[in-house]
Amino acid sequence: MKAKIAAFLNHSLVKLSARLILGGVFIYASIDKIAYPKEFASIVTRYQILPEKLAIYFAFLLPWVELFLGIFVILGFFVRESAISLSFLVLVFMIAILIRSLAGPIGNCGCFSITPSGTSQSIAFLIFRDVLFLLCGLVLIFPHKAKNLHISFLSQRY
Amino acid sequence: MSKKIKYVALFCLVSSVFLYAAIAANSFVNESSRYIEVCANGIVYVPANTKFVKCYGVIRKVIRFSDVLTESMEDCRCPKCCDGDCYVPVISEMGDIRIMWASC
Repeated sequence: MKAKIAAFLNHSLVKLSARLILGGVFIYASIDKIAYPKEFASIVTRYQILPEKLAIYFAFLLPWVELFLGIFVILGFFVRESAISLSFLVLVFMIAILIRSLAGPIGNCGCFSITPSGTSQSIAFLIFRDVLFLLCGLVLIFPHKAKNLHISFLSQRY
Repeated sequence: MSKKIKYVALFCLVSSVFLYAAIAANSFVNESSRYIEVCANGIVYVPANTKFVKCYGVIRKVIRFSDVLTESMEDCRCPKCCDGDCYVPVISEMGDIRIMWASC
């Protein structure tokens, strides 16, 4: 059973899919935040986890980190290191959402869109979504032993 | 181009982007200290073109202003939120009380 799971996780198509999903999601998530940094900073400060000034610096820097790591994962630069960083970020987001949910319903979590959604997002849905992203990250962190796919730059080494 | 030069170029690009973001964050930190506190000081004057305010020290984006408040929304006064926003009564430029909606 362990060998089957390892073989599945090592399959190049699985790795490639995980890279495209994880990288694509983080690149997509960074776009709105880079375009509207002040709005995103106001959302991060509302989490009230970090002191205000630190939250603002975090909010201005985070989208660029997401963008670069997303690009790295897709293009095949430092894939494992980027996947570890992105998985750590996903964990941080999950903890932040759980802490924020203790204070009441989450309006706009600031996960993807900065504009108010109009409806509160379900915490269970947000956590479930993050768990899926975390799984993609874990697939990439898992040591790669199988032969890579030969699909141009997408199949670069780990 | 050698691998080393590529890495140096990548490092310079990433560093300059982070430097730009840090400078922008610094200017927003200075700007945010001037935002009007709308929750802790009673009903205060808020200009119509205000983009951000503070409610008990928390930065909130101004969504819109309205003249009336529906009964169903009366419980949504900031910092309590309903469906992604909350309201605060403020004094407008005309001197009358208006309802300002802020994001949650």
